[in-house]
Amino acid sequence: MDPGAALVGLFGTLAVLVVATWLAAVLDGLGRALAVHQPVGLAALAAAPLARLGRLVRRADVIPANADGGLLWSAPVMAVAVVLLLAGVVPLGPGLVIADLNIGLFYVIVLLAPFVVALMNAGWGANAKYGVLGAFRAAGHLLAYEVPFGFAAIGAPMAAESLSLVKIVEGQDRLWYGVWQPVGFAIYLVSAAIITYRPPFDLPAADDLGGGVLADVSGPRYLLLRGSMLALWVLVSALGAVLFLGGWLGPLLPGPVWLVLKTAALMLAMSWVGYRLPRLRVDQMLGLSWKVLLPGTFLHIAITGVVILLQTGG
Amino acid sequence: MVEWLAFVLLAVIAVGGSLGMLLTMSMYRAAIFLMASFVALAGLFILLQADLLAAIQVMMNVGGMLVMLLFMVALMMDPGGEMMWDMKRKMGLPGFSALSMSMPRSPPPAEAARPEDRPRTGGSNTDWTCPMHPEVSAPGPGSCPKCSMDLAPRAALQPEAAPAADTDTDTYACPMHPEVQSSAPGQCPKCGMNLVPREAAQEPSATTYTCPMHPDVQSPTPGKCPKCGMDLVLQAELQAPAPAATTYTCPMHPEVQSSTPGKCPKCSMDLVPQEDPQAVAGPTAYTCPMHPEVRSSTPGKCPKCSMDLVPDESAAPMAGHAGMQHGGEGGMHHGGDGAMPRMSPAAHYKMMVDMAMSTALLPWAIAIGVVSALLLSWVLLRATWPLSPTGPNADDVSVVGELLLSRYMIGFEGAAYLILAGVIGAVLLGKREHRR
Amino acid sequence: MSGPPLQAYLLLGAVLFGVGLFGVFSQRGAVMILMSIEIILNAALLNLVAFWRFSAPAEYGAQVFFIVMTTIGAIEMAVGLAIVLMGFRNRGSQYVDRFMDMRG
Repeated sequence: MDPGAALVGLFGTLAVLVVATWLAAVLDGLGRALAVHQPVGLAALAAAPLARLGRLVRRADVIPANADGGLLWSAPVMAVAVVLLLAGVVPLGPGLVIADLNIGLFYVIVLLAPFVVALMNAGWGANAKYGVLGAFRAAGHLLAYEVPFGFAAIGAPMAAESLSLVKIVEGQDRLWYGVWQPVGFAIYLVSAAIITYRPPFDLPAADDLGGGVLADVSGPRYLLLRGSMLALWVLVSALGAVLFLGGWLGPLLPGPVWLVLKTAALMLAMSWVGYRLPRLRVDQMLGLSWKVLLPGTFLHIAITGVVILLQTGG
Repeated sequence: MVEWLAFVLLAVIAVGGSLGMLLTMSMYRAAIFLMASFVALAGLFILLQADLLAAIQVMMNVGGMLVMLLFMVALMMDPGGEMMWDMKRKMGLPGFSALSMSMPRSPPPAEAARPEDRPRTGGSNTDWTCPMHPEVSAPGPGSCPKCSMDLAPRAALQPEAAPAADTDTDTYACPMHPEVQSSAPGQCPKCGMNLVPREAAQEPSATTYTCPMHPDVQSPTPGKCPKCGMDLVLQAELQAPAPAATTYTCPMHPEVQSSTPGKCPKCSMDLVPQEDPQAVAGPTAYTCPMHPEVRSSTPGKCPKCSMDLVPDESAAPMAGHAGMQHGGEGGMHHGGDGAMPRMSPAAHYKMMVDMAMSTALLPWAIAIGVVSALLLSWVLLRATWPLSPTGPNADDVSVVGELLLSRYMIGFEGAAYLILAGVIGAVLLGKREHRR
Repeated sequence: MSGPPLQAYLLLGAVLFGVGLFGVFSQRGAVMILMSIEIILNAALLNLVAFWRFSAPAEYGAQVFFIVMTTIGAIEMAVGLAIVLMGFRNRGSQYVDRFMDMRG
């Protein structure tokens, strides 16, 4: 691989991710404002994340006494690494993807677990009660979403007969998968909210734990961890657009613009609905996952399988 | 060239992660080390052009190690390793990292009678035994060597073998003075109250356990105080005058002093008898091991270096006991001199047995590991293996999918689910032995 | 084919096996022993994948074998952890030297 092209690819991805994170913060604020019927100007919304960024960069990085330095340092590094690796697989357009792996979707599902480990390291390494509690709530999230997320997302490869994300988008040129897989789409969105700790599932970094895993994190490390959580939300929403809403397919506008529009629409919808609902406790979230989402995914796989068999004539 | 670099880096992480897991005292870090080792193995699979296997390796092992981590945090007393690291540092235990916390390989030299060997007041209580193994007999409290349950006095477990005064329904006792007992109703010679039958009296019987710190906690069986977690002791012993100079202290927290054996309220280690003659009245002066000019009459932390203050032996009035002290700690390694109260070899032995992370087979384990690695390398490297001239064809990965969906695999997966269902059923439905 | 030869991977597998064996014999906590067994399993699987790549790259059954073995490893961990959990419930400790009832 050409090292020059690799570096350009790396920095390009980073730049796109930073912009995407800003967009995510803006949409998050917009969703919250819409959910609580609070009028707010778009300019203020756009500027707020930048102001926060400026504050956080200048703030000191406070490390608690007896903290586990290695674990604390590893957390933002792992989080950013996972986000970068994920961003390499999402296709922006017909040829605009860094690496079209033929195990694309499986690769994404695999990479979601180390992100949780990064957050757990941040919580445990702080050597404080709230951090540890937040870390174990994050582990509970992982156990809750891993299976429903995978089973809900598998409907698209079943229809496209490939795990490659590019082939999945190309398979939707006649009809988007989200139209005839509504159950899977809904479960995917709920699981996506769980894995990115969006409200109403934002326990591990929630205010009632004083910030949970992020309780003892401040300054640039907080910026990196929060930023990577937002970036993960963007990537998972983009993946939802790729899997269920046709990716870059659409008339008139160029492919990447369509993808951005669809991703933004999904993010706004998740944010608005999420802020309207009360926060779920850990046991409620786990119950929802195992008792509602998982049987729902079985139903989704059954329906999808039957439709595919009928289409191809048995 | 790049491939060689990648291979060496990944190999170092793989071996280093595995060794790090075994050598670290923190259990959380052990799981993270192992995760890193397995992810390095996945990187090696990518080098070997088996991308699907690399993805499967990462997925299974990150999740698996997370589960191991959760179990270790649930089952261990010190999952962060801080207490053991502290102990290693303060006591100067030899060995690298976790290898210093290994099971002692020989029992300590025999000693003169220790306080808990002295007969207790009340002859029926000298014999401690295990509720499950009555053949076990010990002179004092401890753990059963067979099942590690807490020992209890034989009188408490076999009331019919004890003197008849214990559970005889004809016994009358004074509510204020339980040691006053009579086989007929009457008056208490000490306070003049009417004697009442044992069951009606609210005073403790010989089988009532109470907490040394919370006398209102009473229980008919040994266990732990619900308020502070200390072991319950026989109330009869608490009220009887304890033998002089048997103060128990925690090896890690010398300021914890107790007149009964039990567990330290700060770190729940077993208290060990303190041979320090000052323990009778409590040490009168405390000093810092690093700054002898710092003196205090109360335990605490040195204002200069925040180490724990330790009792000042130089003020000991009894020179006669000094010989026993020096003889007692002759076998110990002194890293931080005076940072810990001097412990007899028996107490040190007991503490190491409690805290050890490695078994007594440690040198054998090292030998077996090294010899097996060398033997395997020799066997694998001296053979000439058939090498294929071509590499893998990248388009054939779909063959794996077809193989996975064949009917044999579905049968295998079904068997796997049955096994998992059995395991879950066993864990959820298995009977629990009723804990005391 | 540039890059490390087959023998490099085999040597690494042997070293990892030795580390795992050291862990199994030296550790006192049952969960640590289970993790050492996992190291041994992964060393063997590294050997498997290396042989697949260098000796029979057209035989994709080896990859299926890997998947089967990894699944078996996960099930083995589940069963082992269930045993440790039941032992902990009954004995209050995961240290293997507390479970010596059957010793002579």
